[in-house]
Amino acid sequence: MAYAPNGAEAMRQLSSFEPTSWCWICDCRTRMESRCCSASGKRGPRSRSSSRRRNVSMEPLMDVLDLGHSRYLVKPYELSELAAAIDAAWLKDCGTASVRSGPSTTFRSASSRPNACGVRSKRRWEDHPPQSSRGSDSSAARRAQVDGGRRAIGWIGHQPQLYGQLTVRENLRFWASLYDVPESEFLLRKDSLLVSSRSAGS
Amino acid sequence: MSELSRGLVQRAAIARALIHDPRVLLLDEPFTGLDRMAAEELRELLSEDAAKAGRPSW
Repeated sequence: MAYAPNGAEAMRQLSSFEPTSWCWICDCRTRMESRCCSASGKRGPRSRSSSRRRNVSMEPLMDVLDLGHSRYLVKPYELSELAAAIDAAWLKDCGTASVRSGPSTTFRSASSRPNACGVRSKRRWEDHPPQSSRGSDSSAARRAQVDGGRRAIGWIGHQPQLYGQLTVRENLRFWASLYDVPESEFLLRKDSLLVSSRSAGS
Repeated sequence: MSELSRGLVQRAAIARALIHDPRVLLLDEPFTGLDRMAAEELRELLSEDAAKAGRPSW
């Protein structure tokens, strides 16, 4: 079973895909001009400008994750799957360098659900597991790659991913320690972040 | 932390996501559960950060 289009098929989909004419509200998989929710009296599709605001830019992400042509085939609600793929596969254990040379993420078009990028990634991962670098001379460099790849991505989802038992500062310190943020850098950044978020709330 | 409002918690979540100064920020419906005003404030906060740090948000 083919879980994702090959390069030629993906390019064909890309050339025929019109992201701004897709209905993102009702997810009805139809072109907004024909049988979309707007025709049946529900909420209408988002405007072109709204869609553009939502997807600011994928270029740097493509650079980091080697998403290639998939930028027009990924819808916003697929972000959680993207994050799961990042966490499960390359970024966590391989780092940025291996992402570029390793398995590539190929997303299916929105019309061919279910999105199976996780399945494909998992299979590739199982078929070609990364070589362990423990004990080798390059372990330190590889570790640095891993840390660099992990630190390249920030994530905000539905849940705040903060511990209720801790204060905000303690939570920030905990997350900074997960990313190996130096203490001096943490203190500097923590204050600026807290001040900016507080001022936004006042 | 548990005594804070949803809006404040989400602000803390933004600070949490930015604490390691990432190159790219991924957002998955970060304004879920917030009222319109709070969502707009957070949107502005993120836009300012993206502009200031040159950090793409997606």
